[in-house]
Amino acid sequence: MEASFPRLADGRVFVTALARRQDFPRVDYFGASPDSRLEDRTSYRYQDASVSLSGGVRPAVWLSLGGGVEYVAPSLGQGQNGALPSIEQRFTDVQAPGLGSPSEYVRYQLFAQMGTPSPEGNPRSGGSYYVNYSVFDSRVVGYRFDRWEFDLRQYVSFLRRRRVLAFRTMGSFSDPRGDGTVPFYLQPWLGGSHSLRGFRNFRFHDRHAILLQAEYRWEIFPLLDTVLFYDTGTVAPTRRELDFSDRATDYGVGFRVGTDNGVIFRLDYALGGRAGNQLVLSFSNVF
Amino acid sequence: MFSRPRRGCAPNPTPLARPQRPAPRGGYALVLVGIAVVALVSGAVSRGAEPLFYPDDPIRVDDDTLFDAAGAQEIPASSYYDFVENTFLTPGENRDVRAININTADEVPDSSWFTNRLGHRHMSLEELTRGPNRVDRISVDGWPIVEGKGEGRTPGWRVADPDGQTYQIEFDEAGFAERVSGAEVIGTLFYHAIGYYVVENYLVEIDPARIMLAPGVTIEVQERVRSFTRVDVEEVLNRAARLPNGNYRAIASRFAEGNPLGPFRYHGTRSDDPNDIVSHEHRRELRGNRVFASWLNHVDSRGVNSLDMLVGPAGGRHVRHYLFDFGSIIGGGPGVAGQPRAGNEYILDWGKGFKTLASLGFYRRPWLAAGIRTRPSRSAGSRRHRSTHWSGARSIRIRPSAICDWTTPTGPHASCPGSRTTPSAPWWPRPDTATRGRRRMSQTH
Repeated sequence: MEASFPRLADGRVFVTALARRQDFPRVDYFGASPDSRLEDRTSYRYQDASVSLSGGVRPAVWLSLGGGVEYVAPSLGQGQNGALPSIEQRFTDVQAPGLGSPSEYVRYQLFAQMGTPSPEGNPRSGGSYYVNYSVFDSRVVGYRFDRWEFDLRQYVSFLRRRRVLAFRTMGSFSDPRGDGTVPFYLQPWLGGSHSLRGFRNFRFHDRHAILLQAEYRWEIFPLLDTVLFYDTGTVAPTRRELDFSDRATDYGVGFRVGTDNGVIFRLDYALGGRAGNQLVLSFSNVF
Repeated sequence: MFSRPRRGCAPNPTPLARPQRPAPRGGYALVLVGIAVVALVSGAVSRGAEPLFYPDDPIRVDDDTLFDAAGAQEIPASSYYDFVENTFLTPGENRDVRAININTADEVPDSSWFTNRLGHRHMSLEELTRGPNRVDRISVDGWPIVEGKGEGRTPGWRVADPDGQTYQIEFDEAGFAERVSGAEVIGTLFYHAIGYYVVENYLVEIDPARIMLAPGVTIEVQERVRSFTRVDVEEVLNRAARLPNGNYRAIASRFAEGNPLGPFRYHGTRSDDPNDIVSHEHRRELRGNRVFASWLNHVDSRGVNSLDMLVGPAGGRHVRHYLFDFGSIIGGGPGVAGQPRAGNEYILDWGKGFKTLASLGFYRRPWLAAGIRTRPSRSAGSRRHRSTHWSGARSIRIRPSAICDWTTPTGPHASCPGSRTTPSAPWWPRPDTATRGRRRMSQTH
């Protein structure tokens, strides 16, 4: 349930209130660390109920500043994927923090969004630069942490905007307070149709994650683009251990059906992933 | 209406047989003479039963209003269906036949589709620049908004004059002042002069302080009806180009008289219109529209930009066929319509698409470097040589310099390039387009 007011005060103020329940019965977990093994693939069920209020101001067309507060009550259960062992059969509460006792938490955040990608729904030029700082305040002292995130995107077009070079770098850095930790279900992850396309969804978890993506898009017809892409990224338990020598990499070719308003359908064929080639079907753009 | 089917076609071009002089003497010669006489007599009788020409030839008016079409029902427009049908399919009869609705002079009679004007009689500059408009100018100040405009990219709404007559108001997009409104006026004048039915279009200036809403105004967006409020008005104005004096220039399109029946198609006939007996793909004026649309770079000449209106008194109802929405001609149009591909290449050009794909995008399509546009929408008529010639003959009667001469008095483009001289802007119609089109289009009829 959402109430959104995106253009208050002549478009300079925006407010969104949201209440929702989520249920993901089959979420994969392979363990934390960039060296997690495919053989350790397990499944768990994630549910939560949350309410949030966020808002901000737009001092300029290219700049939004805002913040928000969100209360989340998560719960975990056995994975519903019969082909995989459930998470508790392979991982302990130490290996997967929070597995035994998921805790309610309140997230406070501040964010800044800059840039004017054009067109907004399916950019061909310009950039989009997002920075977020969050505090996760849990009832369980050991689950309190701070998080910095960024998502920087740049689009360079040529030949009347029919050819586009698109770049993205994304990072997420979670720092527990004191001797605490980050619950595994709140750790950033890589893998899947929007990050490392040569790897399964949720393939890599850990406290810190960084991702680099590049695409060359060229228009075949007005509604159809072809893409060559390259993804690389890694996760690590500490910032010092963020080492690109351990990075996971994939590359491939894809097709996009869409308009200026957005990508309607996407088909990517990724190679180079450790688990073999991946065919990705999606109904939204990568970035 | 064509009461005699033969009369819808041009005469058979086979020349009449000349009588042969008989041999001077001998029985053999007599036999030949006898055969010749019989042949001549029988031929004369045959031709007498169906003469090549009638006293009223060439027919000037095709009275296609004879039957009451009161039963015609509205057929909703579907941009998506129109796109799919004309992009992936080849609708209609593609047999290579001559246009059917032509008279013995190879011309199109006046009908509910077309009225011969330019090329048929002299048109004064005043008549050309007035176009279909019944008055010189209008002011929409104080006319309340009665409906939002939920379709199309051009921002706008609908207002009603004191008599209840509805006008659609469309603004230029912010950053593109005069582009759509100018093109709309120019296109209306061209198509009216050529002979098509078009709606009245007036350039108006709107003072935002005098915009008023009628009670209970609604807007339909994607089949959902909701209230149209002052916030929506502001949204529209935010997207519109503003004049230096703070007002907004707009096009006010007078709704055509009658009841709307939806767009016509460029193929087939309306099953609920008893007067619609000529397949549209075989109508000369619709085939010829391909050339006019090419010449004016009317890339938005889709089927959904046409309109059938049920007009006439009870018992004599008939369908009149309009073309509208010329805001994309000569490089105008909102958003993507102004992009250089439009007019140079269809959305799906398989050959060029494959080259682009296989070359990883290094193959440069010609339009990426050039801006000359001459290709209309796929649905805008078919390629037939005689229809192309017919259209070209009308196009070349319009001097390029006349474009400014016609349109500047009405003010569609305040900075008309090279006014009263040959226009120089790249989006003006090229004078040789019609001629080149005639050379390139090799199909017949």
